[in-house]
Amino acid sequence: MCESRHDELDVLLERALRAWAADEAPSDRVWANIKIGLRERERRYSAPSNSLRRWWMDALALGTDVLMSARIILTPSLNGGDREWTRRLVVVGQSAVSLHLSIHR
Amino acid sequence: MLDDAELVPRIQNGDLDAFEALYGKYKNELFRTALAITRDRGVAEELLQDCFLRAYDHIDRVDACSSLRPWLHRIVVNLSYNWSAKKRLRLVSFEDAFDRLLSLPRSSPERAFERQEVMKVVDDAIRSLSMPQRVVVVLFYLQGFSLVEIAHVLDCPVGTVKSRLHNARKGLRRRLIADSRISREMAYDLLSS
Repeated sequence: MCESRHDELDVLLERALRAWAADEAPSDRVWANIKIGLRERERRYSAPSNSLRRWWMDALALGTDVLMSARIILTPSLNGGDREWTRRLVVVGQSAVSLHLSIHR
Repeated sequence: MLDDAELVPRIQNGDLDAFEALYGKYKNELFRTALAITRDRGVAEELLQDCFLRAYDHIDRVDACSSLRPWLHRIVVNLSYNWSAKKRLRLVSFEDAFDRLLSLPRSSPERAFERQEVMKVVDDAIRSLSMPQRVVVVLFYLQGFSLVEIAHVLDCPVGTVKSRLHNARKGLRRRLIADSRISREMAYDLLSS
């Protein structure tokens, strides 16, 4: 089927649909509801639980910086899961492999 | 009217005025698409609302250089599919809108009656289409998208779009020819008006 629209049926359908839709428009209520939805999103984003999550992510990033500056390297290791704190790090880092601590001076 | 390329970076930076400008630019055509598919004004307004909230949520993923028109239509069409899957399609006739169209001055009452008959026949024929066929018909005839653009909107091969449109046209033609209410003269009357 080609895209030319000079067929009788094509013209009939196009005109009927466009004539039908010509004056259709949404009410002002729609934009008002969208604004409410946006405000709700903004409120959720700044909710305490999200603030806590952001604070935790910042703390984690800071902790990583401290480890890096102290030249403490955490590398994935099968032997690293025997200590409780490395297990926690595995959970935080969402890694499937336990971590091994090594200090490089 | 501002270009999408100007609006998108502003929206991505949280400019609500830019988002309102985007809404103003596309609200009518998206509403008409949703209305033509769902035939329900309340549902069409809900879909339009959800469409723009989703667009706002995902605006960071948008390429600022391309038009948002196909992307926004993709969202509204997907929402229409979701809606029809949840709820049995309640078919509301085009007749209300046609009545308004027909209330315009005409040359004679008989001619107005004939026009009304043609519109009703077309309405019945479009209502008889399956959801996928109706979506393609609405995007093609109402919104003027090309087959390639429709394939992009629906995220399917162009061949699928061609096939749906071909089958829809075949069904519509058969139905219109078979309908005793419509004559060739009536159709020409509508076409020439």
